[in-house]
Amino acid sequence: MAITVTEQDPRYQTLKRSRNLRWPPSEKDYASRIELCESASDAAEALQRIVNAGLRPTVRSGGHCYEDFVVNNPGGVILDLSLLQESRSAEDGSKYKISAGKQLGEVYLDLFKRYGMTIPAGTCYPVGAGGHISGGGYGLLSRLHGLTVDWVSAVDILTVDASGKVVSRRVDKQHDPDLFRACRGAGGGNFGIITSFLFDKLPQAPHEVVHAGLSFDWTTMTEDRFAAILRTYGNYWETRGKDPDTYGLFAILDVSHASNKRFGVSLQFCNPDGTCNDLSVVNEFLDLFSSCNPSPGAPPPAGERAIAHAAVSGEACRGQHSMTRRLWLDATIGDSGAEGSGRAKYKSTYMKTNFTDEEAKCIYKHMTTDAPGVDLRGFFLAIDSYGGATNRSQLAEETSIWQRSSIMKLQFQSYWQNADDDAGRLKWLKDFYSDLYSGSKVDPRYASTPYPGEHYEGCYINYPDSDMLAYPFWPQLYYGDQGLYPFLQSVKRHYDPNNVFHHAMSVRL
Amino acid sequence: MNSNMPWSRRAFLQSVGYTSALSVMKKAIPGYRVSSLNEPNSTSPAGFAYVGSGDDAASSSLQVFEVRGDHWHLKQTIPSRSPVSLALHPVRQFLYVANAVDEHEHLPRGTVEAYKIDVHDGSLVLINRQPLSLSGTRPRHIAVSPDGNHLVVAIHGGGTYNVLPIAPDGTMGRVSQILKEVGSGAHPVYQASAHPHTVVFNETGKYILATDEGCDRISVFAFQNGRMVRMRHAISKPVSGPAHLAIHPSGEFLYVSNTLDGSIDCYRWRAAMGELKHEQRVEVNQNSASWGAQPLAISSSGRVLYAASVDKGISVWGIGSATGRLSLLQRLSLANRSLRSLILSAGNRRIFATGGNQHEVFSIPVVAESGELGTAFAVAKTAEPRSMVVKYT
Repeated sequence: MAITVTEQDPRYQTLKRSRNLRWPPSEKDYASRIELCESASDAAEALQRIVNAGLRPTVRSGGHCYEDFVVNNPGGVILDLSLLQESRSAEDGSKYKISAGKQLGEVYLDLFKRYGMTIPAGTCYPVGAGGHISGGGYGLLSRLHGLTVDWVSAVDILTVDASGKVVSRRVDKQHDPDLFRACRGAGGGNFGIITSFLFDKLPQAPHEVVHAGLSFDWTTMTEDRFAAILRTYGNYWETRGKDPDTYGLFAILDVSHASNKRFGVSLQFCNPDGTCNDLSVVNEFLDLFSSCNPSPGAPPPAGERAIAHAAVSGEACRGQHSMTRRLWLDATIGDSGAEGSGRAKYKSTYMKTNFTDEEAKCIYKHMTTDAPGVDLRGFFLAIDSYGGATNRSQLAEETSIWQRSSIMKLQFQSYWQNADDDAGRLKWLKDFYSDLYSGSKVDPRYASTPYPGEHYEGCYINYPDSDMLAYPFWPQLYYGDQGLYPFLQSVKRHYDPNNVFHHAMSVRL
Repeated sequence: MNSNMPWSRRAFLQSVGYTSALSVMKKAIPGYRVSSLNEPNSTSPAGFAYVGSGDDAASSSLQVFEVRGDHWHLKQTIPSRSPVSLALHPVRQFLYVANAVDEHEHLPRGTVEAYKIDVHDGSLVLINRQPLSLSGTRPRHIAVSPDGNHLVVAIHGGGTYNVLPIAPDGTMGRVSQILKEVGSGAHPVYQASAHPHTVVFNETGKYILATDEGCDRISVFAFQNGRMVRMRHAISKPVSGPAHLAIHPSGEFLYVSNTLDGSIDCYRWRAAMGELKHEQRVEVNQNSASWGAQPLAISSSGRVLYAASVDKGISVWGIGSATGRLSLLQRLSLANRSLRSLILSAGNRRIFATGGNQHEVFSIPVVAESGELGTAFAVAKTAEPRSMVVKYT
């Protein structure tokens, strides 16, 4: 039996919350109870009770959803999988198994200690595997090893059939292959409750990595130099970054508002063999910025996903740039995930080609303009390197991650504490995003969005942005316009015909 | 069930009114005539009729008519998105509307609206609009509790029931209960999932009876402290599609019209004993292949049931006083009129019906002794009327 936490339980006030304190929008939108499941059978039993009672289930692994998809469930029930531990069973054979409620940090430790393996997933330690992997799952090793969903070979999932009966399924390429594909990237809360991911094989964890960084001074920055930094960065991923020997290089250009004084690049690198014996790729990359007046070391970690030790000047490795060499596990677990609760808003963009001058100038304008009454020190535009192994195009058909041509992935992040600041913060970010995607590269029909085309490749469903619901083509922003969304709708109709699993941006019947 | 008729609603409304409608209605329709301005009952105001018109969310509306016998005068037209179901509050000062839409403020959900009714001229003023629960798209029917404290919504698209509180000033609070239904039926298109269709309170307000078109289900809910509690349900014939529901004045029988096979089921209902037992099934449509909603109305005497059929007009059924069983009294052909709502007037002297595809409301006199129907009168023209209530003064 799951552990039931009702409103009378002292744990309720803590467990009902979202990490993002913007959610839910009012006290009346909280779920009526939380079911803490310790096993897949717990989850199945709890789900059946919820469905029988005519209540709405939402599902939580780590609780990091950027929107209100889980905690805005008035009178409903949150199925919390964070205690779920499904150990490998006989039917799993030699497969690796990750329970959906496991935190990424736990997964890295477990896979490394047991097998010396890893998954190319994200940098935030407490993020839950369930939501992260079902939406794609990428991180610092993704240019080297692809997305986490690229490695998934089976999924254990609970669905609710047309009669309302909970059905436990193991789906793979031979069994319910349509649902299996949908579970590989379409995002959480759509089709059922994933309890485990299984993998026939996994990439070996690197032995070591280096972290490095550069930073730039906003007070002396000019528009031309800012544009040169963005264009230099983007050009690398558009050209040299496509060579396999660079796949172990993952960088984040964190552009902050000028009120933060500095912004910069942080990076992690290892050679494809998992060592750091040859650092020429890193030196070559950092050399590209030498004319842009950089300072060694990245600025203090920005947002949630910066590479923590890139800010520290460490042991000088070969070459003229400061780098910190660390064992991979220490670098990955380290102090990542030291995140607190607060209020936040996010947006995203996949980019297929380098920034245009027009875009660079637009970003510069917004980063150097104060907004009356809005403190912008908590804003960061993380420009992640992408491409490499993520762009194995054949996987677009096997998974539900269709973006297989991008060289950079942008995450717009805004953090603050007070509810009184919500309106100003949200409007500023919305206006910035809209302005950036209303330039000459944007088809007027899709103004204010990075609609898929020659230059953009839409948005990332794991960075959901409910502002996009204002556009009737929002599914195409997240799932493309080549037939994936209709496919997902057919999966939805087949496996969840009563739309038991739904949220504001779930696949619609 | 949308009209395929090319027709400008806006153009029509500019000219709507009884006199202007006459010329339109003079075309010959079997069993159908146009009322005369010299009708003897045309001078005494009887009340106000509220008609929800239009399937198109962008151009649909509510119309307020002053009713004087068989003379209806348009008094007000106000925009309202797809007003599929209307319900009067028991104090008769408020009107509630279900908007059968797929989105509200960019989220997948329908809405309900509350209006204040002007005591003197019957006109409407919007009090407030509330969104339904997430995924609660295309609400189909609403009912107000007899104590006037709650509104219950059957949500067809979302497979859900919602309950909303009603304040003394008629304002609706936010959704206070969401009851998600699951289930399916054998029809591959119309029964892939649960589709609540109609909700009706019993006279005491202690029970709610509901139909589910998607899974051939008749449900009984207790209504306690403003919440629906599942009691029991009956499964109707597969692929019947139970839709409209009417409770016999005795409270002992239910009548359910079935959308998919054009039949009516009679159930014996004993609330105190928890009994819901199927008694009889009759066919309404002579053409059993027809498909569509079949509104029901029962005379206050409990002796006659009227059922609008999709393509043939209205069937009139005698009701056995002890058994509740139906026996056919009359089939009134209305030349393939497509009827979407059916209301008995005060005193049961006439039936008002809306013809969805014909853009008209008409009145049919009721023979006092037998309950049989006379000749139809067209009383108003309005674009795609789909819902109606009448408030008598």
